[in-house]
Amino acid sequence: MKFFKFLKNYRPIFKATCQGLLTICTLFFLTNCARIEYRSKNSIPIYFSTNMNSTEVFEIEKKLQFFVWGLSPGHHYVDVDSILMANGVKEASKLHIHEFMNWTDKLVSVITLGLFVPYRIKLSGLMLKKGEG
Amino acid sequence: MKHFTLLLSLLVFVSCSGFTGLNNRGYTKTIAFKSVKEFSGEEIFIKKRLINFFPYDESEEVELKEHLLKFNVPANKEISIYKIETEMDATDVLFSLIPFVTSRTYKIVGMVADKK
Repeated sequence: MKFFKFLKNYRPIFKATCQGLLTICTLFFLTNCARIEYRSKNSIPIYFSTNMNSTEVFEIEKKLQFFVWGLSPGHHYVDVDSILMANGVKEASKLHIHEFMNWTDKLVSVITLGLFVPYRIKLSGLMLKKGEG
Repeated sequence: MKHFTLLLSLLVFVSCSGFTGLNNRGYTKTIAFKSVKEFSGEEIFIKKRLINFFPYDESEEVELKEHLLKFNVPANKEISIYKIETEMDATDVLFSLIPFVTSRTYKIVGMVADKK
């Protein structure tokens, strides 16, 4: 009897705790936000180190789209060569990869409650001067 | 339900924001980024969790030099990185539940290979 009385007294706290835990668990499983894999196809030489031949600065921004809290696509593949080649880079050095969301992306994520999550990557570094190579 | 929606939107808002990056400063040996078909040499695996305390903290970056100095790379060899993966694992999600904290994990796989 005492146990039931105890339960009755603490029912609201128990209920709130359960709801909180359920919410956290749901979020935990739903939020697998944006898994990105960068890869190369060996189409052009790319270096993280410095190459004396490359002198011109490049900066390329690419937008990625994720849906349902990043669950779709589960894995986003970014072909670094293809992106660089499409932007006229023949050889890249001092490559710097930057991932971010700007305010518009965040706003869109909040409005859609995470059903649509735009994400941005910025590739920057040094490339051969135009006309060279 | 109202709280659930609010929490969800807050989480999506907070956890997905932030700036993270990967760079090489000061490490003079050659680090190439290429797909490797034949695996040989010592494998390099770097796992680094980046935690930003404000959505616009740009300081969090994976410094390749910090990790690569541990590997003894001979002069006739170079480091070939063939996979860079960024994700939010379970720990990152837990960290990101804290308002204004974002977390993301970088996994970098490569090897010490012959210069070509």
